[in-house]
Amino acid sequence: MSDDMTAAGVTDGDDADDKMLLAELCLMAGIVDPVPPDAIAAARSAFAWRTMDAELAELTGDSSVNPALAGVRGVAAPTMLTFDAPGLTVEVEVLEVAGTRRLIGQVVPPGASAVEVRHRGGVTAAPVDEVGRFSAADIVAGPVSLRCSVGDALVETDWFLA
Amino acid sequence: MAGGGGDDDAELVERARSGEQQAWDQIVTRYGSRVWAVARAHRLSSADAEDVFQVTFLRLVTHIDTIRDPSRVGAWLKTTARHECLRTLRKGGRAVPSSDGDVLETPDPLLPPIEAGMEADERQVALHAAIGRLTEQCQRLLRVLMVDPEPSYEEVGKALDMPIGSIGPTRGRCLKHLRRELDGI
Repeated sequence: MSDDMTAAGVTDGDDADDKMLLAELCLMAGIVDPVPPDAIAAARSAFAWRTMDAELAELTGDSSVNPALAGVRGVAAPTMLTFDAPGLTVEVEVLEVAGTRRLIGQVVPPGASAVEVRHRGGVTAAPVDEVGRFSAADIVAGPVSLRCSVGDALVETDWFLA
Repeated sequence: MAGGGGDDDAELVERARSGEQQAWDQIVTRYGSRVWAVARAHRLSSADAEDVFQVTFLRLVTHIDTIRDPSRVGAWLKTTARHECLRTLRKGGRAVPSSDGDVLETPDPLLPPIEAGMEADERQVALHAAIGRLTEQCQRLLRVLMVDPEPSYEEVGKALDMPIGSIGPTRGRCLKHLRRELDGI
């Protein structure tokens, strides 16, 4: 490196060297890490899940973020989620069962006859009892959203990772 | 069309709101790699990163009519992805970065081991050896930086719970050490 190089030039040179060294490490580690084409395709087709006339029940409570809601924190405590829409609350507990998920929850106030669970495995319908409780088994781990009709209104929850 | 951001994004969101799949595809193309980089900067596995990626865009689908500032949809996606990353880390029972910065163990070696019979040139062997002599902190930082494209310092700071201002100097120092170790071989 020549002596007459400006300070800025030296800095730029170091920076370029650093970048190259990191790139070499990435290459060696096999990390050329573009977004997997499957993930792009899935994100594009996510648009088809759009329901124009649905009311959104937003996530307002999450025991995995606020452990106080889950009681004792730690070993495989089920996740408790709360979703709120005007006049309707959906509470869901996510349990891990042999690699799949089981959702147990309640629609408050009761009134919906069924809840639809949308997940990677398709749409699973779960009947809702007279006090609003429901249970859905064999839900594929990954993004999940619940949907139910109460009266004339269609309500769907935010997507979450179950 | 100009290359991203601002008015352009607002227009894309507007078109997606009216149901135009093509506009949605452009949003995914434009911000996909940034969302992916956020997930990788949090050192999620491929499967977890794909989950975060998908749930982030699904959330945008349900929120597209209500996001307050459509011109900042990119920032919205990054914030949402970051939130889902932290949630995934907590849910998995894995340690969440804490203030002492010491909680994250390194789950994977920085480089895959060179196995007997594998064709490795001198340079690769030297890099291996040199990395092994770096401090734990350097190895941890390099692991997070070894993502293509390189994550922003902001993302690295969140992932390792390091002050943003310290990342650049630490990065420089670690790479300098690595180079010195390489030269010493």
